[in-house]
Amino acid sequence: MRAALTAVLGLVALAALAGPWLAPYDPAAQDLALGAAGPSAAHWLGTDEMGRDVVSRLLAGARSALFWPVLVALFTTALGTSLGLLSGYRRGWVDALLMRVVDLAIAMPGLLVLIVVVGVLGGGYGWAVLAMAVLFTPGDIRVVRSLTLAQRELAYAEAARTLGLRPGRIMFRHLLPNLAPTVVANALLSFTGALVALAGLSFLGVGLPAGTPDWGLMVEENRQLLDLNPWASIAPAALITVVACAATLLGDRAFESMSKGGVR
Amino acid sequence: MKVTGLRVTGPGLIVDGVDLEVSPGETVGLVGESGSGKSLTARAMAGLLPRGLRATGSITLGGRELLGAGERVWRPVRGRRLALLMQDPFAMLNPLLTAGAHIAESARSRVSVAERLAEVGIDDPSVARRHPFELSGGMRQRVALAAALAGDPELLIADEPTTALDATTQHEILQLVRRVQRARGMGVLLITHDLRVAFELCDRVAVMYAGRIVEQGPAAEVRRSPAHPYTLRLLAAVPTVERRLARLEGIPGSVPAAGEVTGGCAFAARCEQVAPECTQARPPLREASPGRLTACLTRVRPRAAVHVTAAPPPEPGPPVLRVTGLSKRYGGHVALGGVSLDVRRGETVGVVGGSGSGKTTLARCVLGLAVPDSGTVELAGEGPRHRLVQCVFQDPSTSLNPAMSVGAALAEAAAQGAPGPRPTVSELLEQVGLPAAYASRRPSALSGGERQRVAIARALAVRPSLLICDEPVASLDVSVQAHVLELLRQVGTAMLFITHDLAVVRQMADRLVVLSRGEVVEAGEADRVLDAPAHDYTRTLIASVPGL
Amino acid sequence: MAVLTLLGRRLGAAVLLLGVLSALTYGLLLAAPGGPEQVLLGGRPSTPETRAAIREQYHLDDPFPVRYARWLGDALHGDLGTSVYSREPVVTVIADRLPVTAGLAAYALVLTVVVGVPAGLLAAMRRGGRLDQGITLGSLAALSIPSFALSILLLYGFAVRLGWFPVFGEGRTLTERITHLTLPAVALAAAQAALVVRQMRAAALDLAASDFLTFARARGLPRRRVWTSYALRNAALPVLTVGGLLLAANLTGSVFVERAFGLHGLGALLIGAVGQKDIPVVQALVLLGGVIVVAVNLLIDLAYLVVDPRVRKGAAA
Repeated sequence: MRAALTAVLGLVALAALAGPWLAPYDPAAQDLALGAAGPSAAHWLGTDEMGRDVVSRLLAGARSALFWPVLVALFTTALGTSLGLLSGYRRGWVDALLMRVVDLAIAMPGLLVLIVVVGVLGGGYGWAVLAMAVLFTPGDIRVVRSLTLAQRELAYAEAARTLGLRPGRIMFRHLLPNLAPTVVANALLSFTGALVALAGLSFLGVGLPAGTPDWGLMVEENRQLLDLNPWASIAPAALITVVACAATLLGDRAFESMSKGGVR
Repeated sequence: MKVTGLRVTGPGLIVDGVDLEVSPGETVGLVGESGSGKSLTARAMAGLLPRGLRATGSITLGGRELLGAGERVWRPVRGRRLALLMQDPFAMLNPLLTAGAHIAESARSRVSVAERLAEVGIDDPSVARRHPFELSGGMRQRVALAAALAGDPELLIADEPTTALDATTQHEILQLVRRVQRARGMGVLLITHDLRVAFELCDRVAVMYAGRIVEQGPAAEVRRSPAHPYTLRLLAAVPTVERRLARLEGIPGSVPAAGEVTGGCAFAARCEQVAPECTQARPPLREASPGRLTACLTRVRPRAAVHVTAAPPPEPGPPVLRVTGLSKRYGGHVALGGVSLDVRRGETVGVVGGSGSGKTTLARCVLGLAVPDSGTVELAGEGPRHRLVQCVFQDPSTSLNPAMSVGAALAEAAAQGAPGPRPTVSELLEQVGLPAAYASRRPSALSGGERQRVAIARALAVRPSLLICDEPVASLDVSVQAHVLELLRQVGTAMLFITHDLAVVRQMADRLVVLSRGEVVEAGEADRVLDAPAHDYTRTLIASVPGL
Repeated sequence: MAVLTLLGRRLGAAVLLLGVLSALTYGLLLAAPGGPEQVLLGGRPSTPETRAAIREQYHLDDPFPVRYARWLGDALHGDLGTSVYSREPVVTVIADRLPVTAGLAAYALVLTVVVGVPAGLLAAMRRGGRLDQGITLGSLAALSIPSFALSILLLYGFAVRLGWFPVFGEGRTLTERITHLTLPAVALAAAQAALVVRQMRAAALDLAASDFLTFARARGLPRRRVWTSYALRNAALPVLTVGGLLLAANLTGSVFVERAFGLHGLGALLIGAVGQKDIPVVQALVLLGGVIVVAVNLLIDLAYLVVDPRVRKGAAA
């Protein structure tokens, strides 16, 4: 199961890296005479309204579909874990202040804000990625903090303090390894969240210029063609679904196996 | 109730052929260390085994077979004919219901809730309107008992009903169970890990080991002359509050899983008088004398008394710790109200008291984990605090970092010591009686006792001049406890030994400080305080220790 | 007393949240490309006169805090301004679109509860079995499928290929509306139901292992009593906690689902308004979203007060 999930993600990643060489056509090349045609030997998944090859466009979209979510996941996990550890370990006023901000941020209807901000300000992936990092980090902070609060009271953490170890060492060498299952699961959750949100934004036609080879945008632009060439919008929708599910399942499995490994 | 050939199987064999009988008006104790299968035996007897476990054999109540019967048969039996009281009073009551509702919903007759509460010694009728979270552990256990008794059962199965409670509360609840049992002429099956409790309360005692009963008989006789080597060794390992023993003897090795020892005597591997035939077939539970059953093939030879003359108490040296007027409040609660004490080089000072007495806060202040509101902590010697004082914490399951190997943990600790020659990992392991190969192990691969040894080694790694032990054996089985205590005795470092257990402190302390509600109520030579207590609180504490 | 402090704290937090949200939305007007006058003029040609008129009408020459306070005061009185695009009062525009979205949300909520609760319980009862593995896996998948992708798949499968449901629109009569809203409601409910399934399963498993349930059975309590006052009431607490999350999923999900199924609800209105830079409508919708979130969270707090005596008596925050 786990191997299969990793294989799915690996394959998509490979397609993202090697996309330009694998693609049979130029993703932007139009063949207006052809129009929206169904699958054929020349075009495996058919073409869209402008006669552009669906397979080539999917390959071209893979890179941004994966790259930005990975960036968001790395950023939010690193920042959320560090701040959560610090907040939970140090407590005091830093913690109190941070938690106020976090509570507020979590209570916000996040995706709604995202749609509005990106929609009004425009600007492609840039604003979206930044806004997403800001929106996702508080959740990570809260989860890591509450686990840190529990771990720091355990005898091993008290023993580490009694031994006079530096706080940095206690946080990162003693506490962090015991939070690893959650951190990994969080990272994969952020990845899925960002993937779905970015694709969703482009599906709404928010943030990206029309015609960009992007999975979400392809679903949106080709959904009127469900009777002519359904694959033009079903294939990107299915791809988003498969990648998102694989990442979620992998996170779930990783969490389970890692928490079984360590004895609490 | 009669149990014959009870086997409980889950992923492996857990209970292997238990025969037990409880008659009306009789109190039977089922004693065993953790992993012996005693709790699952109790659950099976109430037809409430956790999911995934299966019982075979026979359980009859008043001649009626219950094992394998459906819920339809069990439901009217539970509550009305037998009741089960469980261990953790904090988890046993529905957090959303009041105490009174618990009793009322279980009642099968017209006795009022107030009367039920009065039976368990609660005279304040307002308790009925309170929710569990508003009640202390002892009160919750009383309410639970009242709820269990509300159906007027003929048999009460009490599974470690006092283990989670304070020593004095524990004593009260046990007295209460005894009183109720006598007043109602009810049968009681008491499951406990504590031989002393079983002997004090029960008419008959059955000793369980690795899923089977190894010995059974009248409490007084089992206590006087054990008929199984395991009972004998277990008795020898139990510390006593009456006197300081010259040597504390645990049982080497650990309890095997029931499934691993089906072909012979389960205790053979740890037994001193093991014979070849012990491992060839499983010894039957035979009648040794009328009313006495044993699963040992041979006659148990009493152990030669150990003639080690107690080492003379060390000459007290200069003080290594001096605490003066220490106070600490948490909100409105006074944890410490001006505590003063000192510990001199080479001696062990015991700190005893119930929960809420402030003994752990005291330790935390000395260790620098908590900052006192006023008062001073002076530690003799040079250097930062962590080179002067170290601590062994209570819970062996969390005392080591699960993500770090034993060797890494010890090396890290040793590196915190004063510059100069530092002990190596293998030296440290040897000092606590563990093989050097343990360095590469993770804590999850160690038993509770072994973890606590590693924790002691970690504390000693910086060569501190004072060692604080905060309930270091409270979570360990008796046979393991003795090993750890003996090890601590041999350490030779000055010690502040914190415990709720007077029998343990008797074995360890030269001097004693009794804390109650954050104040020192009595202090002095350990022998003097325990033999001739001057303060009422000390007397209550001593009276609540079950005698052996 | 404890109840009052708790409620006071929650109300304070709610006001703070709405304050921040409203300041953010008001700030949008300034940040929008072209500046506020251009936005408020919409597509009409701008002359110095019209610009001056706009500045006058919207008090754009006042300092920001004053303008914000005025706008907020109007909003509190129910005056959310005029749509730049349709020239109608924002309140009317929103009231027009509300029924579709409300119907969709209610339908989805019913599906969520009707499917989620039994499925979660069933999985817990068959723990480790085939059915449990299936339900757990399915709920994980449903949780990660984006609602718009699911919409497209449903649309293609059930509307285009099988022709069981209409492809487009929201219908007129009640029965029409129900058939029109079925697929959108399923798409919207999938993730929410998955959340409920997981929470319900975990709660039921916790409960099955709890001492107090065993103790209740050990006292021979009738089955009905064990189920109602022990199992259901205690399991309700953790499920209640995800109520807020459910709501967030509902709010944002409907934006995608309405778009995918061509429904003219609030979600479609928002996207349209964002596209046309119809800022007054966007502001009103974001505020409405915030108010709904706050109101539901307060309701959940109240429900906790009713169900859990520990909260009621102030033992737990």
